[in-house]
Amino acid sequence: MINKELVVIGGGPAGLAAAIEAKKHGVKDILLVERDSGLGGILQQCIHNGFGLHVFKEELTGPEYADRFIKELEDMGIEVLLDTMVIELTKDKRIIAVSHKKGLMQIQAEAVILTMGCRERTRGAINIPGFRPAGIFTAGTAQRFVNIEGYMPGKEIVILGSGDIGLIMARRFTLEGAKVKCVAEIMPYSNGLTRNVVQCLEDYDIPLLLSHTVVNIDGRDRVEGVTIAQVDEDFKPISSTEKYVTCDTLLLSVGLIPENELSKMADIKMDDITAGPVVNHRMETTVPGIFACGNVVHVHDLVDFVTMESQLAGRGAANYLKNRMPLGKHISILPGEGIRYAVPQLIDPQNIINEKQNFFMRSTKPMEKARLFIESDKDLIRTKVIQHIKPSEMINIELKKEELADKDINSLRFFLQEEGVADGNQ
Amino acid sequence: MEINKTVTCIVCPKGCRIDVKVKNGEIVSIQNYDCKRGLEYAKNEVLDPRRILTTTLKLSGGRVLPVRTKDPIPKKLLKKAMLELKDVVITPPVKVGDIVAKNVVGTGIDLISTGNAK
Repeated sequence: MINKELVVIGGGPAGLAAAIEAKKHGVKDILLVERDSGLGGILQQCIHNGFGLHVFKEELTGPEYADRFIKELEDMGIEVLLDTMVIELTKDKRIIAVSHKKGLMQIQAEAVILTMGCRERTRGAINIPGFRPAGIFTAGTAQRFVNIEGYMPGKEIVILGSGDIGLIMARRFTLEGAKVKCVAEIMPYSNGLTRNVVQCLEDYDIPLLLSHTVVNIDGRDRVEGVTIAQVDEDFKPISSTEKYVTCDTLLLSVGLIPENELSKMADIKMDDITAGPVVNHRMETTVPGIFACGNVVHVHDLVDFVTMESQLAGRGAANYLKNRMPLGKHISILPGEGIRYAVPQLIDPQNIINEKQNFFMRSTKPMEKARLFIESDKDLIRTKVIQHIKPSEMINIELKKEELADKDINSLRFFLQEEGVADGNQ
Repeated sequence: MEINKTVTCIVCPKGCRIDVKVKNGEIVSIQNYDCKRGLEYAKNEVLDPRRILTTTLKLSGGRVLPVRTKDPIPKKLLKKAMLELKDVVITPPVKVGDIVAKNVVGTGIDLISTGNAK
């Protein structure tokens, strides 16, 4: 049995930032466990630029962003186990991990930070009929083939779903000489960031078909084509709009799911909407001493926000290890009208870190202009007008401790009310 | 010669579609923008659109190395740059920030490594 003060599970952007921050706040005995052969997680295959605008005030590529944290982690002498997969976690913070060099290991931690990230939804998750030929990839798998292994998965590509990875791969494939025929998106709006629609599709004249989906995949051994159809308001395909597009490859960019098998083993309470653990103001789950941050909690669109959230978790774990006093009364954060979810789901207003609390949330639909209401069960705390709201671009708002602490409140509710068309005067 | 171009602004999530009229290489009108930043963006996008090129180069031991141009290069040269870099092979060791190719397609802008290879 190995004993550790803090074990961080996952060496992607969340794990790196959390481990570094915990060390900065006095945790000495930290172990970071990573199943891949190197650190950095999915950032290593995200070779495009656009990372770090918030954290470093400059535009970096994924591997460059990761490199800064990996160097800092190494300089601090934080212990790392690579090629090691955690296969079990109990609520008593006992971890079983396995690697081909060391075999099975049992680790007893005093605190744990979960940073396992997420994985992609596959064809099975969206039930596309047809044969099962070669040539169907999730966008992230294709990204790994092209950007790390150096292989092109195909020459004529159709992309289903307009998530950011799909858009990024449309550009990447085009630059590498493949023909991207179209991107089909079932929703009436894009699920990616506007800058990716412009710089990855419009720059290369790749059509984005909104309210369209793939209804059939053709080909027995290899994909030969797909049938695309427009969908109605209930997302049902309209058969008269069907058209056949020849291609040898279908990429799926249809969403990400937090990877929480370990969290569930440890009896951590999950949020049905985010598919991640319920967390509090310091990113602690419902099991005291087990923290979580990054895409394992909720899927982010910017790594910068993953870093900020993970720094909070690292600091939260350091506070927990210093002073194991139970926290005070927690209040619930409730997503109201127009809000799909809000993180954290619980806060202890008396023990907020740094005298302020950041909330991340997503809207249920695009809105030109809306007023965000923040109210407790006692009274209205604040409102804020927000323009150009999209479900794909996370809303984040910071509340000061004094806005929350003086009142005897039990819950906090966020909701959005649409306010006509933006006129630019306010 | 008069050309009409529509630019989707990426300065904020609103995504204004800004109409720009160009005559003999000069902008004669910009319409449908909502703010000063959008105006500036549309100007640059029409007169001199540039992008940072991010791609990979072959490594001599197999696999590939992620790289990017140090600064943005003209958008119309992106494909030409890809062809120029197609057969470049890099021999490790190389680390983040190392120059791996000089003066990409005559732009005076160098290509730097964004990854490490031992």
